Amino acid sequence: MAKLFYDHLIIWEKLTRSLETLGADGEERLQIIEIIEESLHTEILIVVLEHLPREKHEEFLDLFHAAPHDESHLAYIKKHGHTDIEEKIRKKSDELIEEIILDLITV
Amino acid sequence: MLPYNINSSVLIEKARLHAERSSKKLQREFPHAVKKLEQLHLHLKDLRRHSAKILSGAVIAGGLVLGTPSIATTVTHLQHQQKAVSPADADQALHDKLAAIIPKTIGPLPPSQEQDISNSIQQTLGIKAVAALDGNHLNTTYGRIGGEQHLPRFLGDKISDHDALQVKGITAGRGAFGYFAPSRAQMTQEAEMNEKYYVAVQTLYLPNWNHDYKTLKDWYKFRKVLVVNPSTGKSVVAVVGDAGPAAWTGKHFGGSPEVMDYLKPYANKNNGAVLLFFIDDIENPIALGPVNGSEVQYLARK
Repeated sequence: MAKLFYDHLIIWEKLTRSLETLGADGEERLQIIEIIEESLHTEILIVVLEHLPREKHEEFLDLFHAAPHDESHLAYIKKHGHTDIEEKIRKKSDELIEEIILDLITV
Repeated sequence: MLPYNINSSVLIEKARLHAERSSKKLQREFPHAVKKLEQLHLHLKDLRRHSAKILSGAVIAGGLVLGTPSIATTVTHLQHQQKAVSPADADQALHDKLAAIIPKTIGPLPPSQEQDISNSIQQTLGIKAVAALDGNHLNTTYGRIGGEQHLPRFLGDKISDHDALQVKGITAGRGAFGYFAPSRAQMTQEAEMNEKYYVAVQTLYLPNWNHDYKTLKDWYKFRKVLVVNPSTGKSVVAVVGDAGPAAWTGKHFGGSPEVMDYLKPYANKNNGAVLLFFIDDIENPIALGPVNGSEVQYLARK
């Protein structure tokens, strides 16, 4: 449900814990998470596009649009682009979450 | 040390700056991809809603194919309707009926299965619980629930003011639908019960949430629902008191300490599968709390 093909590669706990500590209200907390997610979706898409040949970009976006949850997209990227795309996505999401937390907790 | 209680509008603004920075990077490095996304009307900020829409569409299409056999199932159930004789029997009866209907994998159910579940609940508990009410339907009625903390019932509410399960703690902020009472002085028994038996549902990911925000928020606020642990048949009546959890947690619903304490839906230590249906009771006669929690409650409902 409302799943994305790379969800299992993102470790959110650190962000969740930080937001809890910062004490945002229920809906505001979700609003913050949703905006942070937007950054993650964009950055992960950039990683994917960086590791796919240019001529495959539009085809990938069509497939992604049709089934954002479908984990076979990872196999597609491995076939046409980078074999270790999971690690690339994992690394990018970890770095971004770390960067955002640092920013949020800095007054 | 983290700075506690930073104004959330500051956090939102900071998060938004990150999103804008990423968006500009995508535009700068892959303008053809941005153009393609525009053609597809795919906005990355709405990605999960888009995914939910696609997945629920697939389920509805599947449900149309599966629709006819459910009529036969319903008739069979009605012909073999049984009277439960005790709380444990009622739970067991519901468990047995659900075991024949729900799939092993958690996820959205086709309308035919949701109707079968409604029928089973009506027959065993006498409660009219439905997947869709007034045209509203959650993204899933069969999902994973995780335990939540207590919610503040009014401004200034403290965990020590709650009479049970204090060990679960209390959130720093109010729930997404506001406080349960305007002030401590205006607390009522109803407000107390609403907090005790609340659930969080993912209104934020409803496909029409942004478009119909005002109407939907009013509709969902303290909406009465039935939550069933299909592995035991135990069920509890609750209200929608918060929004969440975030989709990436892998959970679909949140339950108050009291809801979780009764249902114990834990397949593992943190969460478990439940069914969550709207209760259709216009005159509001169904009390919040465990449906068959005790002999007294059970007999009172009969």
